[in-house]
Amino acid sequence: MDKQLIEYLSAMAKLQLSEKEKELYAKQIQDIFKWVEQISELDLSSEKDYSFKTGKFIRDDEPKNFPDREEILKNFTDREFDFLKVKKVLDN
Amino acid sequence: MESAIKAIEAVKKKERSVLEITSSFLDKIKKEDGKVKAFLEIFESSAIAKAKDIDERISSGKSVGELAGAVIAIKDNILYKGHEITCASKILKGHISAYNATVVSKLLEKDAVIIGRTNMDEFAMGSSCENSAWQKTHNPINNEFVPGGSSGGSAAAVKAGFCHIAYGSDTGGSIRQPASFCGVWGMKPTYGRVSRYGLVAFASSLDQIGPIATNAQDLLLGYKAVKGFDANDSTSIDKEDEKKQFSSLKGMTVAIPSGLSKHDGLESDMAEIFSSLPEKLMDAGIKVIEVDFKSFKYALPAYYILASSEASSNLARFDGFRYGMSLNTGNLNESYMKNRGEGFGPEVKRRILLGTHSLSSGYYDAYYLKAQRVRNFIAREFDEVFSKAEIILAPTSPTAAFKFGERMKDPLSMYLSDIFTIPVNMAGICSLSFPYGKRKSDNMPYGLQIMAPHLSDEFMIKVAGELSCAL
Repeated sequence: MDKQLIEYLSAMAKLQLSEKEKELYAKQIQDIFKWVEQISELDLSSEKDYSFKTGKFIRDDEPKNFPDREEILKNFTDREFDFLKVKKVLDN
Repeated sequence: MESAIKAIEAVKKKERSVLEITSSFLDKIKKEDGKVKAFLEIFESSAIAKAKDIDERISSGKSVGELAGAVIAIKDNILYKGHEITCASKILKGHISAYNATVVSKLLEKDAVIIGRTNMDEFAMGSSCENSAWQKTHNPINNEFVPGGSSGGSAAAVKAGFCHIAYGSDTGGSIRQPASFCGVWGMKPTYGRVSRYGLVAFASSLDQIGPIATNAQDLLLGYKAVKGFDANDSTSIDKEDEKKQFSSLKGMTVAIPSGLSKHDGLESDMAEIFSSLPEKLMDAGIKVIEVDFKSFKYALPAYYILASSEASSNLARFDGFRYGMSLNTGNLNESYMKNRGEGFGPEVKRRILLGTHSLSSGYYDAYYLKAQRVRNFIAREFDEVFSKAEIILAPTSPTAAFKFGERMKDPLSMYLSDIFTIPVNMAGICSLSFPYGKRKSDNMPYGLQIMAPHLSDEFMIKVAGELSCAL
């Protein structure tokens, strides 16, 4: 795992990393994936993907009103009226 | 310490008021938590208000809930309306819960007093509480040792006598391992048995809330108080528990994984204790079968793929705009990068990177998909064993508590602490840890883990209660 891949991952995950962190994580994540490789020892050719035994998992998409809207809005870091204020999304 | 059940009885008989019980816990926390650091916040005013409200209803002859007299702590990832919640992360600092987790609603309806929120590893990622952004919790038995994690604050609070029952969350052992390290009881219910609504998600397909207590009866009380179907959690089970009744240990069949004593990382004292277990079980009239579990070895690496993948997706919402900490400099993308880069701690960042890599195109089949199949392999293996045995016994963790800093440099050494607990989350079955034996050199406790099939949670607690007396 090289620094370039870590930079690619950090850009995808929107995670700013220092040079020191990039070096550290490149080494650690390489070690972890090397260790993960052992799952290839198992014969999984006839194995299905995991499926849950219990629960329904997919429900109808019915919107409901949240009773305390203001409590959610209060947590906004920057607010104008009932809107969440963010940085400009599109450049000119 | 007095049990929750005794306290509830005393309140019923009007021997003690809820305010007296609550105040005595508050005093103890104020006096002693400076050393333990189990709590991130004490909910003093809401706890006292609740206690007074219950007492007033009692004195005016009105009915009160079945938990009146019980004092509870919750992990810092369970929402309690109007109170701060941080998941022990800088990125959520200052966030106030907008609603109650279903677990909290149930506890309050039943008239429990919620006394505070407990420390944890950031976003429940870790096995020692050292990944908290705020403080290090100390093991109440000996301050030089970690309390375990990620629900280390909850386990320490129960052990230190700061509350009757504390709730934690268990994604790969985060209730059972700290319970083991602190010498208390901790349970991970069957997946879907306790609502996750209002639990801040780490790995949604593995997370489950459960109780930590000092004894089997309180654990059962704590479990029954919060279990049940909830339409707000799409993975909640709309079914009753298995009708399996516990009658006697005699005649039961227990499965024990073979070859564990040779397992890398299993401490010699625990290996010795565990190898003498079959004989003790047989003395109690229990039939013992040894099973060769392939999944124990592969569950851990597969878990790190799946849990990290889910975490990288679940934690995408923490952008520094909608919640908590905000360092909004530069353009939108730069703000995201900075908020998340500075808001998350090292272990969380490591797992987000791990998950992002596992899910990225070109690697998805090799990692995520393969890990899903390992998960199925594990579930099938448990099914097979449960067709021959009613429960499985294993160590909770390969070692007793370790010291601060011992495993922080090498993430893999920290991950190994959960090697015996993770298969349970992968299969979605229920499990609990109870204190069993001690490490000779320093008297730190070990935990024995009991695992049981889906929806046999109450049966499991009763069996464990009997086992702890019989062994």
